[in-house]
Amino acid sequence: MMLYVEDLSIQVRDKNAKTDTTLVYDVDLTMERGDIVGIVGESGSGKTLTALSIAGLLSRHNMERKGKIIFEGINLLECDRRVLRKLQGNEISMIFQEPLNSLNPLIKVGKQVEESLKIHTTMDKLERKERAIKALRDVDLDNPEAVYNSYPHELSGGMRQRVMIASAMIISPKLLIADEPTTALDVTIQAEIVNLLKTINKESGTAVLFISHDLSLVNTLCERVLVMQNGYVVESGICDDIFHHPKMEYTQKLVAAIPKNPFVN
Amino acid sequence: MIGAVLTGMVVILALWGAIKTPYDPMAMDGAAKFSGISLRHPMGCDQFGRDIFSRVIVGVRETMLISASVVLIGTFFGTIIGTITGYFGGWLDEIIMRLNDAVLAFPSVLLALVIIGIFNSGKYQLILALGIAFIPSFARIVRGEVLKIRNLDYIQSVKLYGASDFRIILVHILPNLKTVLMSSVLIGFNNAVLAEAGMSYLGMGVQPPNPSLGRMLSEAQAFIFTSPLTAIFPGIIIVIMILGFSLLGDRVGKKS
Repeated sequence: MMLYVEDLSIQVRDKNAKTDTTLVYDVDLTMERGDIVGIVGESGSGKTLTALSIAGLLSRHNMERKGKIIFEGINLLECDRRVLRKLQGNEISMIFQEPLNSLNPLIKVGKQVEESLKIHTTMDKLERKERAIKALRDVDLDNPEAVYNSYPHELSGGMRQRVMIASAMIISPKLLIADEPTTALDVTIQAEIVNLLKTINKESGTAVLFISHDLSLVNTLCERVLVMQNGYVVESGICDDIFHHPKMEYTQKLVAAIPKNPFVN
Repeated sequence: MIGAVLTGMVVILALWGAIKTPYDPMAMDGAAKFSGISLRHPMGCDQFGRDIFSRVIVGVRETMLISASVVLIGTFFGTIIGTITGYFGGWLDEIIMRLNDAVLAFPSVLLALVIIGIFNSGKYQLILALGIAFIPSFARIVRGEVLKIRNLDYIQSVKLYGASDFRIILVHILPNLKTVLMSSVLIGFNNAVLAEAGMSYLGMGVQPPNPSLGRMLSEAQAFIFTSPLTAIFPGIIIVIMILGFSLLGDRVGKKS
């Protein structure tokens, strides 16, 4: 088992009011290598918090996490920061919702794609550049050399998201967490990005944890899905089952709310 | 545009003062005492018959050097403090920022007076004193900006690639502070010019017979009605300097 999350709860402490608010309750999740698992839920249901805590990105101040997140035998909630940092660069990667904010506006795209190579490997400049251009080509960018030398503001939203995927995949991680990667994009680009994630998963065997509020997208991409509401996992299982025979009322409502979409089938 | 022209004028004056002056700014000439505008003395002479034009250009140089050093000290330490407290947060932030508030609570001139009181008056003491007084405001500005940048997705994602705190600060945060720092440096420079003039006026900065704009104003005070030229020209130059930098600062602020 690659990733094993058991009874994960996340509490936020309000320093002034001296009260604790629990935002995520008892989430269980298992992933094998090469799995694609989706988490769906509305805003505020705790899906992003769950993802951030798996990625190790929640600040350690004022936030308490209970339970276990075991990745390749290491409990991420209790391990040393240095171990976590090593895992973060090499094994777990993440892409974010807003491609506009995900790239540093003052640094050329290529340098940002290379970032993790620079930190974790001893490659020289040329090797890094070669790898970065290959990674950019792998995400179907038309002119990788030109993209390598451009600044983020010169790229479109879809291109930026591809660049993000390229920089997340350059170290061939075992787990890629995608936090609503298509929300800021239009429908055609959405379908392309989802297909790209699918291809990446098939070719490199990277497991994908896909977070979305769009059940139809999750259905086209994922094998298994967790449905979250108000911090609880209300339903989980094989995607097709949940999509066609939702048991819980909330999931039924979600399924009923899917508009007919001509681009995603 | 106007700002750039005015600033350029003042900078040229200062450079001129660094290379050559028409007269020795300290040379006294009893015959030329309080003489008016003439071809030989374009701004007239002061109570000791010293050429005001020569004194003004040397004074501009002194004032600019002092202000620039003050802003440099303020920006340098302010940026370090602001970045560290903004980035790491927690109790360190709490302690440093409360100290910062304490310093900020005193008017900067009063604080500088205290420091000069301890170290004696003089040019370098003035730079040090004003520099220390300028640190807190820069620290605050930088801290606010770092807090904002720290939570942007691209910092999160480089964090996720395993970048160390040091690398994140140096490579990813500091360059992004440039625009904010630029306009606050220009505004800070203005305040430093005024503070220098004020302190020299009080006799705390540049010591006589050396000229500085504030010093000249304070010496001219006694003769302001009998011979207004002694006060008018240093005053005008201060106004031009401040106006130029303000306009320039506005432009930089608008551009970003």
